[in-house]
Amino acid sequence: MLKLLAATALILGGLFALFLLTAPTNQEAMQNDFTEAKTTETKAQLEETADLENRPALIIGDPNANVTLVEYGDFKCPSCNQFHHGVGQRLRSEYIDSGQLKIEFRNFPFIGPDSGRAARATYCANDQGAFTAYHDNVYGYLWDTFYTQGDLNAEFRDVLTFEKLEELMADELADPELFASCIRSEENNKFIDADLLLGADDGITGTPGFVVAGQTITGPSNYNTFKTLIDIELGR
Amino acid sequence: MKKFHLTLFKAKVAALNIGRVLLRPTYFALFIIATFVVSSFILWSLNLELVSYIVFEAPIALADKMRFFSETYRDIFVTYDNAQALGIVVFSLLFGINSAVFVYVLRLRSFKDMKKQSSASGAGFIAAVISGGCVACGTSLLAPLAATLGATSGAFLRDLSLWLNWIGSGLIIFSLYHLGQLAVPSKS
Repeated sequence: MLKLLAATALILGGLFALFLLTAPTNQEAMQNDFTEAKTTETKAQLEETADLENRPALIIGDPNANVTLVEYGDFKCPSCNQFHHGVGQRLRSEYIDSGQLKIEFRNFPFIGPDSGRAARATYCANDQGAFTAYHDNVYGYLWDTFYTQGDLNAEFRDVLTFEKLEELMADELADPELFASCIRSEENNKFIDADLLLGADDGITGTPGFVVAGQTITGPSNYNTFKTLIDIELGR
Repeated sequence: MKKFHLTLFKAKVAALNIGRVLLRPTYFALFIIATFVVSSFILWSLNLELVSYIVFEAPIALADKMRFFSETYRDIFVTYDNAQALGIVVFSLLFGINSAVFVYVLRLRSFKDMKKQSSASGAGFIAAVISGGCVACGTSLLAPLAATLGATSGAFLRDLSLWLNWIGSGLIIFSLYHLGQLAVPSKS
């Protein structure tokens, strides 16, 4: 009986190991499965329109921090919001506030029209040094008003209107009128295209997605996953 | 009504037999191993490169490596929302039970007698792994599939992942209903 048990455990373990060894990497999966022609076309288009050189980094924390956690997010994505309110807050108190870590936010809008609107506005807020406030206010608004009230379908309604974005940032900006005109212009689309292009290169296929210590993390993960990788990078 | 009572009776017999099988230490151990393996598969299927890095390359102590994986289980209801986490836990437990009972019945009967149960288990496993790998609003496994089918809505993907997870669990229950009736405890 013990032999049978050992054999079964071995087979199950072997199957897992086989999957581990043969499964395509994120990048390969994107190239192979994300409909090759579509990806190639999209990537080629992005390469034409993206402005990688002038794209300002959207930083939370000290820009000189030793370790960078890149976060790919869509403001409408509840899992991204859950990350912000859980693991993200803990990372702030444990690493960001002490200047060891910074988060570089990159837009990966795909859920709805207001995903794109909210993404464009990140750069408008950043122009006035208010990216962190914008990031927190938009996530906070969706979290408090919809997601924690059980209204997950708000994800697919057009709730982040221009007026709402202006209202959320009313007390945070030196020049609210400039912000209002900026979010209505398409000038920042080139930076969002740059974010998407960087995401494709990092093997990001959905949100939330992260890159830290040279490793890509796809989907929601617990605090210890990030802590382990950050500590490796910090050399602890 | 008669048919319903008969089904209920059969379900009770199956549950009783499954309980007896799991009371045996060897099969209980098999249940634990299979539950652990399948839940690991679901939780880490999107991050296999990271798993490989932590296991083989990361410059950290073995205890830290073990903590890296064990805390994923501890935090499952924090990392995922309740419906997603519950779906993963329920499916993994059912899969573990099904594996143990499957092996037990396999020892009593030929594989040919268990064709229906095997198909249900296999289909359940595929459904739940696809959905398990798709627990975030963005997906690596379902998005390409859905994009091929022309789906662009995240709502579709989110709901589909939950539905597939519960369909997977339903198929495993169906498999257990039949397997349980075959799992008549022997004296050995």
